[in-house]
Amino acid sequence: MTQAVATIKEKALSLGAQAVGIASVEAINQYAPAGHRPDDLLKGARSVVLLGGGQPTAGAWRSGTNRVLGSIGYSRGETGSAARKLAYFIEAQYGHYTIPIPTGERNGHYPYLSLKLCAEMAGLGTRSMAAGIILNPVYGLLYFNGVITTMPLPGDGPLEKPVCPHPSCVRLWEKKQTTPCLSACPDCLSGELKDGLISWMEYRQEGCYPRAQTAARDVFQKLLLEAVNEEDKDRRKSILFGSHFTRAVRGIAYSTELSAQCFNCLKRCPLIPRRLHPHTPPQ
Amino acid sequence: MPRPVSPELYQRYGQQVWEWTNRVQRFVPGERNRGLTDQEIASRLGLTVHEVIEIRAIAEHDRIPLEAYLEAEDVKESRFKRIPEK
Repeated sequence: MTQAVATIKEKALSLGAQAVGIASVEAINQYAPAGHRPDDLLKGARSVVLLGGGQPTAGAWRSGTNRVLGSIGYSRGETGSAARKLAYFIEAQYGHYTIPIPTGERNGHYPYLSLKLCAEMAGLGTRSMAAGIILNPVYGLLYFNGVITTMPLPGDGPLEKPVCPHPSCVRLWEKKQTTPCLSACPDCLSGELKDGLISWMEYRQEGCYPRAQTAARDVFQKLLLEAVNEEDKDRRKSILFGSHFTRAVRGIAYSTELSAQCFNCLKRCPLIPRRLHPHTPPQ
Repeated sequence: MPRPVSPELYQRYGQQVWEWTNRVQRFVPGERNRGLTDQEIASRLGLTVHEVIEIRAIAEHDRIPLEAYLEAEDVKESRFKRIPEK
């Protein structure tokens, strides 16, 4: 089993994941509600192999504009693609059923299952003050995807020590009762630190959603409804030919800027590495 | 293809469904806090899961004004350039 775990993890890394961890379905199901569990999607599922990656490059954080960072600074496609290839690999190599975790939302804003929870249980990071986003001790922000499998594998997580808050955030809290993420986005976030740890954090999705999904599907639908309801043909034209609707259409047509993320809560997070790693020099 | 819910049903349950969703996510280490699933909301309100899904999907649009999307770029850019707390 140890060899299988090592082989699966090496394969995931070779397919493009930056970090990989394993969560047992049993551990996930202690928290996940019925209907949002791995074995709701694959009968007899025992493990989830989580892949992290696709985060902004160090250069993307230095791009100077939010739109550039949000548009090209990250990729959700990489881990999804790697997960699919890893799923085929596990089935062929070990004879256990697999499915990649379905990406996107199942209905409305609800996902199939919580990738945050899976990543936590796979030991890939812990919840942060910044909207509960999972922060990894090495990479900071990561995007996640993974493979659900009937193969029983030993789980890695959760981490014993919380990644957030960073010591500099604790010092700022003691001085000013705020943190870089809380001060960046008071509309979406609130919370408190106590004794150097997160005491509580609250994230309001309705504040975050229009900023994280500025040019995505919801605004396409809303502008379309606005145009349909508009009786004046010139105003209707200005809605449909305007730059925001055009951006949303382009996003849907070409998968660009579909999730042009906000990033403000993480922009100054000291846990995000923004300098080049000595072990991964640019070629 | 699921059928749309009636405007009357949405009018009656839209606010309650919205309040019970996962829209506010509270994290307290060691505690379990989460919004309700569609199944859980359906059980509480005596609706079908399909009805709750449809009501929630409409409420998610209705409760976030269009202006919030149209203003988002300016808000994000201005905050992006703001000098951080020290």
